[in-house]
Amino acid sequence: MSPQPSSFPGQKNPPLKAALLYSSQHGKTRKVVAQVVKQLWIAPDVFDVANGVDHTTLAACDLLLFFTPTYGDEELHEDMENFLANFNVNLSTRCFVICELGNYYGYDFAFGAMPILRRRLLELNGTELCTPLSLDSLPKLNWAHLTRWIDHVNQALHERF
Amino acid sequence: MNVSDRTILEQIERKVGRPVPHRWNGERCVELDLTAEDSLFSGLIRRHSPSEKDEIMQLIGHLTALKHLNLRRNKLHQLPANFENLSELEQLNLGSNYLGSVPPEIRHFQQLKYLQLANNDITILPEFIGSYRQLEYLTLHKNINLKSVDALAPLTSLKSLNLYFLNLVRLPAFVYRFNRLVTLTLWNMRDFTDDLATLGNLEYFSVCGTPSLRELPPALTQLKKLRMIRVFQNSLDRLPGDFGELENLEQISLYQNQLTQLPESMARLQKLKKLNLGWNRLARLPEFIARLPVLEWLAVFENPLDPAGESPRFAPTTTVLREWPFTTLAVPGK
Ligand SMILES: Cc1cc2nc3c(=O)[nH]c(=O)nc-3n(C[C@H](O)[C@H](O)[C@H](O)COP(=O)(O)O)c2cc1C
Repeated sequence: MSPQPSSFPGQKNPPLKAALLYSSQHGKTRKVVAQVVKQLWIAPDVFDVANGVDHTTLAACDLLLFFTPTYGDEELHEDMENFLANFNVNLSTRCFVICELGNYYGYDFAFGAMPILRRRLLELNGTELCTPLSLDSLPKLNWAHLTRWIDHVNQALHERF
Repeated sequence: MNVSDRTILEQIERKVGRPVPHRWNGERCVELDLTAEDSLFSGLIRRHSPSEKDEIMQLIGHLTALKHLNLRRNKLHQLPANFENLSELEQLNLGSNYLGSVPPEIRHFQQLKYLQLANNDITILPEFIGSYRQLEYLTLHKNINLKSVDALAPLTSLKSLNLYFLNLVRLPAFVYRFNRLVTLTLWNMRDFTDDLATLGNLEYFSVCGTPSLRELPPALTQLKKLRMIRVFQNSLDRLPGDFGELENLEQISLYQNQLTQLPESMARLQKLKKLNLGWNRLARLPEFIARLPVLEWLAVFENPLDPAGESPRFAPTTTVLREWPFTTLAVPGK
């Protein structure tokens, strides 16, 4: 049986430096981030990219977690796009995790913020830690879907670090 | 400016900083595409400065033989005055440019058959949009403050109309007269009338995001040519009993509704390939679903399905999604 997050040794205290970067227009992503931080096995430094982030701080991280809504017409949220357009850190020894918010499961094709982010992070030689999350958030957000995914992230962290 | 199209294109490509897909008819440039999948944010000049964008757009304004122009996702915010010279355009994609209005520079583009104006912060439609009598394809989605589309009334040639994520509540009566429509996409819309039945050519119909929509319009089942229905994120608690009369349906998305059962008539959907029932209230799956002969993909995740209940046995050719995947990227069959 796979270990449950709560049984991980050294909970919230692994020898791992992590940053969580998010952007939010109407606050849902911020709420999601608050929930993630509570449930995550590690304790990342949290940054709203709209406030600017020092890239050298990020270069020192083992793990970067990205949370962003899709806006416009299947585009990246503006703040995250502005961040990403200038983000040039070599991620070859680093892992990343992505969660996008929006409307995904009613359609039968994939689109949105996550593929854009993911493509850039892979171009920068990052390694994707685990399956990303497309989280439907308008009008309803299914918190159980989020919870299951955070468990999945915790599991992947446990296996890798 | 008395300069050849080839020289202008060279200048455009220099300013864009990469090749720009285009097509020639003799010495005239007739197609130009400033959106490319291999560019991170799609729009080739999306991240250019406002003055660089203006210079490039001024140059484009000299390509007066253009018939197709794709400017999608470039955040242009405005068009130059000489854009009005492009009146030969038949296809124009201005999506995601935050123009703030339907640009007056396109007022006399009488050849237009295809016009994309999605996501431009448009709040009012000007009268001149009704003068595009050749227009067959129009998309206005994601102009969330657009409250009225009355100016579209004369556009009876339309075959495709996208009104997703606007601020409308009812479908204006004149849309029921657009009997050439093959595709109609709506959002947060209710109180359909029986006139819906006049849209007999519809093959693709979507009405999503309507919290007060508990039943599909009864006239819907008269639209026998329908091949795809997307009615996700409403509050549907039942489907019409004769739903299965829509025998040409190949895809149905009922994701995120309140359905507790499905009508037996759905057993007649012999062409159905994809059925999304995710996030509903179904306690059991009817036997007939497993007998739909060409069903390739079925989503039933996030339903209170009784684990002790009998589950129909599906053919190995049907992918059944019982657990909610973390991402649509990973969904098999999508
Ligand atoms: C104007 C607008 C445009 C949107 N466009 C998209 C979109 O293209 N695709 C999508 O999946 N979700 C889209 N959404 C849904 C948002 O991603 C969703 O509401 C998200 O929860 C917003 O996060 P926030 O509250 O942190 O800003 C859009 C929402 C708004 C208000």
